[in-house]
Amino acid sequence: MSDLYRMSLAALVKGLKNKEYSVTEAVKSCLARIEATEPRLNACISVLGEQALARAAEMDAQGPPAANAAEAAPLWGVPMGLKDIISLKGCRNTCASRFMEDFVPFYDAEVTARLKKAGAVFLVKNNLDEFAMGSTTENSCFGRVGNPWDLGRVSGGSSGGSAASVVAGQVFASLGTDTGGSIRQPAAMTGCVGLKPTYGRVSRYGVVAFGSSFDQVGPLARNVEDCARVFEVIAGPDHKDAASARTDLYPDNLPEQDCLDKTLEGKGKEPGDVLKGVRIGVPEEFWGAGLDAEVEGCAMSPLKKLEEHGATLLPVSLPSQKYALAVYYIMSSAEASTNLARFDGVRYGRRARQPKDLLDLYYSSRSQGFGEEVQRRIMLGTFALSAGYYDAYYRKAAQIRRLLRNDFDRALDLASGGCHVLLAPASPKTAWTAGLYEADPLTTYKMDLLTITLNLVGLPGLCLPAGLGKETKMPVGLQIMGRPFDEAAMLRLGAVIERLTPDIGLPGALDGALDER
Amino acid sequence: MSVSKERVLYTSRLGRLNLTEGLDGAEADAKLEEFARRMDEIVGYMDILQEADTTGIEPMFSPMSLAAPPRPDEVLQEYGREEVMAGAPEQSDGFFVVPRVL
Repeated sequence: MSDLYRMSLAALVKGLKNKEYSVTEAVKSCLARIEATEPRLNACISVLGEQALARAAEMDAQGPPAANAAEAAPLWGVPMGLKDIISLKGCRNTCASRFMEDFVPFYDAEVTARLKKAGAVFLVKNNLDEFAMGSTTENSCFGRVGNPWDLGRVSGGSSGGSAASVVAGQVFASLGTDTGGSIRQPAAMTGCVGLKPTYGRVSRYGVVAFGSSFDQVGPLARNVEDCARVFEVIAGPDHKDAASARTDLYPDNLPEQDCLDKTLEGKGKEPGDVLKGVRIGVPEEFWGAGLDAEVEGCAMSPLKKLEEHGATLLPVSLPSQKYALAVYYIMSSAEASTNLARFDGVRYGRRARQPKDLLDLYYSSRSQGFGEEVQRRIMLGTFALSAGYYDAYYRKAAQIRRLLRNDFDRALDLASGGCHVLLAPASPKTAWTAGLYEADPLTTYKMDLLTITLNLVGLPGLCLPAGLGKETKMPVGLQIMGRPFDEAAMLRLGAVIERLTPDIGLPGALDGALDER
Repeated sequence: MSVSKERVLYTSRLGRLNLTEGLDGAEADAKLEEFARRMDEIVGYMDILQEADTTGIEPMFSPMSLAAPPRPDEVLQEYGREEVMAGAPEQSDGFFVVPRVL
């Protein structure tokens, strides 16, 4: 049973329920995999072996939930990870920052609490870009994360640790956060499935804030069904997050319980039946210049198959997309500079030694505690909000943000013949070599061009593998952009795409590590 | 517009950051120069915004179309003072300690 870690989450859940193996065996299999891969992967900041084994023993003693209670514990015994910016009571929550290196939260995030209740066992806290700011997971005070397909390349970011951990078989699923693509882009670069839910769909209570009008928490898993299973558990209104979408206020906030059923429909039914009448938008601004040829070629192939099976492809234009990157970096940095003002060295986190006075305490604690990229975002945001620049940058960006949302509302307006979903690549390049853009922040920012827009407009996005690039042999991700609160339709289509697309298989770069043991 | 070294220094003070922490003299100066150059490049790119016609467009600060409605003002005590203060770098008798202000 040592290779349990290779199973899908769905299969694992079934086997645990039928007592084919124990929770302890599942946890041990993952722990062995972590031990074998982690020295080279660096996907985890904390590994909670002892706690997880103790919890597994408790669960095994109780036995799996009875059939009528199984629905309440859909993830019973599943070893999982959490991006190290999401609170797990009693375990340090570092945000990959020196500032928070020793910070131990005294409460669970809402998503953590929901997963615990559903029976998940937390095994690791995953590495990330400091405070989720970055696109490579190189901006971590715990060092960079390797890509399981080629350790010399980046794993994407900022949830690069979560993605690499899932793909390497360390855990069956993990949670990430997505402010500008931080779930979808690492999913694309490592070849797994990542879902950024509609803004307001998943509670951020207990998740350290980056850009409050952008942030969403979502799952990373090895296939669409596994992703849907985790999403159903974490989604739904929560009064502790002021921006959580209450179903009574947002009638289009469809119940999340539909998601798994729709996914299984996409998996089980004939593609032709599922795709009948489905209109898929192909936004020209996302497929235009700037994509590497191997990305364009690979990401386009599932679209052709969808068309062959009866879906209608429609060209779509989102004219304000050309401003999206500038709007995003101004607004998200402005929010970051505001959110990060709370790190003052007084109430928690790092405090500089022997400050001259209170002001010096702030300056020194922040300058010693924050890494370079975080300081750059604070600077950019402070600049955009400062007197004389607010109207020209921040307010102007917010106006264009509305134009962008109007573009999407038009493209996705079903009543007037608009699309059910839009499809586009998730990154203009496959995972690049570590250090490539180290000294060039603007070029790195430009790599986010295809994912940031959904955060600006608040719509959901699902990223899944389209294949391997011809040149680099690295995974290429396809992104499904959906209507608000319609994750079910995206997951259903995702399951169809998964069926019609050849499996990319398991990454080779790490397998030697197991054989050596 | 261009971002000068002076503007960088002023902005860093607003953000309570010392960009040259641990550096002095020529090193500090070079760091500031480099920071200003990078920031100028980024802000220069942002100037594309000025091309867009936004006359009469209401700014969108959040994707949520509705403001969160008020809820009943109930007192909850989920955590104790000790728990909340446990992460403080320095405390005394249930208070946060800071350098003297006056």
